[in-house]
Amino acid sequence: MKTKAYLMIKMERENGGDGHRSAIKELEAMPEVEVVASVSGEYDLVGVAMVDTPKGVAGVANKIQAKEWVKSLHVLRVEPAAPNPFLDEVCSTPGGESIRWCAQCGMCSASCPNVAQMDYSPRKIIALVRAGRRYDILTSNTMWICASCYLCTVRCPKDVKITELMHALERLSTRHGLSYGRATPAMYRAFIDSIKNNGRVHELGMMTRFYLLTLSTGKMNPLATIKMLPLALKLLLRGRMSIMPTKIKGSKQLKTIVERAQALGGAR
Amino acid sequence: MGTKAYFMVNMKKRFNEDGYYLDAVRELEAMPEVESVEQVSGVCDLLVKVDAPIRVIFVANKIRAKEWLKSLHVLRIEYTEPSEALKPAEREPLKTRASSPK
Repeated sequence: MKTKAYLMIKMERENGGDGHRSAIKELEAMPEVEVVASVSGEYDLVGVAMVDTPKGVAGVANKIQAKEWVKSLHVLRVEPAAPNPFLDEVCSTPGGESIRWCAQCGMCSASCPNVAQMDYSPRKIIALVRAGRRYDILTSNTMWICASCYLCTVRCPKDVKITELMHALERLSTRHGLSYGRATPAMYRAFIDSIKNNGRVHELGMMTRFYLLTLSTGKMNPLATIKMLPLALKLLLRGRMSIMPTKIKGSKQLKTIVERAQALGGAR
Repeated sequence: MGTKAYFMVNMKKRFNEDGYYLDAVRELEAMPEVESVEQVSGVCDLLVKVDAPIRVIFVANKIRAKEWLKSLHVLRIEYTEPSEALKPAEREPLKTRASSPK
């Protein structure tokens, strides 16, 4: 990988005519120097050098320093961007790669109908991912509150797939075990288990499992289950909900598909 | 008239302090006049290339208002005359008729 450096040169003589032009020509003749610009201010010339090794910058600087028309030279070596493993992790997830295009205009946050309930707005989530705040993001409720209405995605001027990004963050949060006790992932899990076992949703079993998953963490109000009892009774009496689960044909094949998806990295 | 310049930016805090540097870079990149922002080591922390359709001083004042800024030096890119080889060849003066018949 090449190293880039800016060479800030102050010239010995102040004549802006031929001396200036010949200095630019001399710099442009150097193979390492890519661009030379004449500037006004603290320096007279700015050169952009590309060298193979970081040490090569010093060599180029010494060559320029040796010229008689150079009064002083300051080297500004361009530092490689700070490594951000979390950003790389999000970008490698399907749907997360578009995060680099975000211009932080805030259109997504302004469009989101659920932003008031979120810990961080969608714009802030992208800024936090770029800042590498893994724990803050994966423990926040933002991605779980997202209703997947796609309003942010439709309105984004940079075509950032924000809804896909939220799904990617949901997967990461579950994979790292940071979604424990939250209602939305518990509902997903109960739903998938019901589908996996029966091939279709068994409402009574799914809701029982959902309440057991959330109640055990102490984050859910136990009275919430009692509130649902009258509705459950009505559904049972009108035959809308069965006590025993019913299986579909080919439920085994469906179970194989779900297990294969989970083995490939799907949430368990 | 559009102007191009390099801004040498020094920041108040050290780099990579709780994503502080990243936030500053994002802020600069979000400005429409800013062409590129590069983190450098040397006499300044960031080198910002600006290509503005307005006078550079307006862009400089925008950046000077940021709370993370310590100092800012402006290096305006001057117009340099094209070298002899790039200059267009001198044309011969147009011939005019000395006298027109009456």
